[in-house]
Amino acid sequence: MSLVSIMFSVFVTVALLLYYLLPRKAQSAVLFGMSVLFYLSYGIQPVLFLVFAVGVTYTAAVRMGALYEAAGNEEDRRAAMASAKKSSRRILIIAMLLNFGMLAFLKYTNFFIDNINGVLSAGLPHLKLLLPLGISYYTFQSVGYLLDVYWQRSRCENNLFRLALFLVFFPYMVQGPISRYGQLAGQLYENHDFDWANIHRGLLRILWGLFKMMVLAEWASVYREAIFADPDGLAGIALFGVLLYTVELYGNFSGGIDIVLGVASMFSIRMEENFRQPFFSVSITDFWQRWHITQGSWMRDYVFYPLTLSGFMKKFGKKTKKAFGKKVGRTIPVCLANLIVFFLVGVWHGPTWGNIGWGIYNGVIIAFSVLMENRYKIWKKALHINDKSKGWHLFMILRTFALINISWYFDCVTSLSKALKMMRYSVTAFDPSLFLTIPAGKLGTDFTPYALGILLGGCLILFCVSLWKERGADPEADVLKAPVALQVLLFLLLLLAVLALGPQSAGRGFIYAQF
Amino acid sequence: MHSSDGKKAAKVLILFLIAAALLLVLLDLMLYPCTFMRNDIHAVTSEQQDLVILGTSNGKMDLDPDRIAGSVVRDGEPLRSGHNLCVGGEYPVDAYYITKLMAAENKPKLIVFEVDPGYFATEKEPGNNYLLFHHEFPLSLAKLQYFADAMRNCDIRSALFAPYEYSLLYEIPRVKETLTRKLTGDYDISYFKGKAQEYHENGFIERYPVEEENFASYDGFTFEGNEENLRRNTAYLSKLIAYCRAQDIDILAAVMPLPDVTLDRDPEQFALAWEYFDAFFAEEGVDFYNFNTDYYNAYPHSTDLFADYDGHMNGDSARAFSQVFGHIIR
Repeated sequence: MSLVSIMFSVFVTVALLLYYLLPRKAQSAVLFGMSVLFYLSYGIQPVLFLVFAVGVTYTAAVRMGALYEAAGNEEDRRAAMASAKKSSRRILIIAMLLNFGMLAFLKYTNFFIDNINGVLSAGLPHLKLLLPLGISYYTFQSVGYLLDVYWQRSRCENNLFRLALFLVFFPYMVQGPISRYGQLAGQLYENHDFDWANIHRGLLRILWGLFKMMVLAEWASVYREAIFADPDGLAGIALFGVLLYTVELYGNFSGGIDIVLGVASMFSIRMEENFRQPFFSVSITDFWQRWHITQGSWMRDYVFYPLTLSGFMKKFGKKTKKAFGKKVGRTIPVCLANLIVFFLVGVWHGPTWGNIGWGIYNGVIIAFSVLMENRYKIWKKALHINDKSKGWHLFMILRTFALINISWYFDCVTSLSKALKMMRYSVTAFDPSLFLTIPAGKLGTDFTPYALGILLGGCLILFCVSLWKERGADPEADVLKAPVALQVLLFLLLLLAVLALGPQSAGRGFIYAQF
Repeated sequence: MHSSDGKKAAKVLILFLIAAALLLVLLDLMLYPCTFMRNDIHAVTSEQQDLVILGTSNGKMDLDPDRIAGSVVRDGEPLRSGHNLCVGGEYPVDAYYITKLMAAENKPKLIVFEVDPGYFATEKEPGNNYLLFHHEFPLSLAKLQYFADAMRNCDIRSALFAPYEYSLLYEIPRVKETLTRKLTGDYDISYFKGKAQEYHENGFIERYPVEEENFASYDGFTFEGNEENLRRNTAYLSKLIAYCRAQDIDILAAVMPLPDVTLDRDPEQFALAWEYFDAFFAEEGVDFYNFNTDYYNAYPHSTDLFADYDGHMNGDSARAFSQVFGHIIR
């Protein structure tokens, strides 16, 4: 059931009616039941994988919880806790292997087969593997929860149904965000009163998400696909090809997240934001704190910190300090941890060398920035650059935007040579009139000027809203303060834009659903 | 959140829902074009049609019901009227719900189901391919069932705003005409006359002759390797046959003649398709007339009788073939 299908609208409406009309005690049961139904709409097989993940996570967490509880009652609490931690670590490792093992097997087996075939000409056939909807998201949520229990940051949930609801809550299943147990679970089990303001907030967010996804991302995709399909013929607009990919990816992913958060909001549940005006970032590090935030913070808390604080890294740090001096030596383990994190981010995005290369590219830039931090300070001082000035801030934003776009050349083509060719054309050829030769989907070239107008106008609106938010506004709350007639007009305009301004028969689904 | 915010939000949402509903109805009236499917559905729901032809564009352009109905006898009497309800994009799922709609309004005596194997080997695209039919259904149980079965997974644009599938550039200048025709119940067919074809009152589309050098390019035909599509589409055909039996409607199936050059291009693929449908209709106990195998000699297959390699006949050829078809299925 696609989030943009009429069926999903009916599904959410029914779920909302049950949620608010039945006794409040039944709210979490309604959410659980509807989530299971939603997942079942994708078939019975994906449910089996989900049941496996819930079962493994629940059993492991309860076992760890019991060990800690028993240790807490011992006389020699410290020794007992150490022993419990040791036993818990074994349970944790098994549970993580099972969770990640299932994900890795389903998602990466054929990638390994391709590579073995490539190197050894083994001619191994692909396995017919199912990639269940949301598997990356619920696996990350499961493992995050298990680590929280292991580190005793989160209490263990003894109620299977409650834990299952945290892992199957339907809005996030298609493309995240990756939620934390401590942030989301409580809200799922609380009783909520019906509040029109939540419905208003949610609907506005959904319409805005649909606009980004069905108007901006879909038009961008029509032209981006045409440019990347004929890089030689359309060399003069190669630069726009990658810019359009930026609009497509951001519109599709953040639009989808807006829909998810909007739906959750209608149930009086506030999920974590996944985007915070990423194109106002002043560095790649900053970008990853604003783009797919929940994945970035997951990687930070569950990979980066544990890695940098691990015994291995401490030993490695001592060696690098000896070899390169205190200042540089101290930063090398951080650089290494960043490289590992972004290698994993690349792997998470899909089993291709392009994704892995893209992840490493981000890791290398961040690692290089960490290494060069002191040097940059010296240079800025020597060049009398005031890094608080607006000009410098704008330069940093543009520089980051350029670095991000460069990485996407590799993300949206199938080969390195094609990416390099597109990059070359981007700086050697420029002829925007070529846009007029690209048909606007089914509507042909006659409609192209209008399509480009819609795209440009939409991007301008998106920029203004982003700027407004960047300055601290809360659009959903602010809109509610406007006169009723103006609000109704805004809702109607958004609805009409979504329904009438997108390209025909272009529904491409959610890019991030495949992860 | 203050309770005043809640009241204001309620006011906004209620007003928005009312305004949106009214606006969508109005835009649909103004911008959704008057298609020939509107005429077709109107014809079969407002008048008794003894013979109804369901199927694809080949059936639409090859079968003139007026030339068939008079030759065919059912219950000891020749069929008095007929309508061609075929159209490009009509899959068995559509044919099934159209039949349900007709059965509730004016039950036909005979349904001819034109089989295009390509439609069984492919998946029906969501969106306009469903809207073309669903939009014209009068409010009925069949319309609701069709929506629940086929439209539910279409995106909200198709479901809420049918004109989305049409170019506003083209439709806006015709708003007045569209609105007038809908509000006055005008089903005049002269609007459908084009440079290449002509729509007739009985649903038959007459293609004007085309020289072979002007034929549209042809992509070839693939039947194998599409088991899932075959299973899904055939399941609806089975449902259609069962429904006709339950409603006491005769049903027969036929494959239209294809040009020899087309048949010779992918003979293995066509052989697989014919074998599949021979077995299917034999099992279902439905008479099956294949004009490319058993009835090959009943009508010539020379290219000059067709308007393209897909096998759409020109008007004169279609009328001649319809006469032959009527005698064969008599």
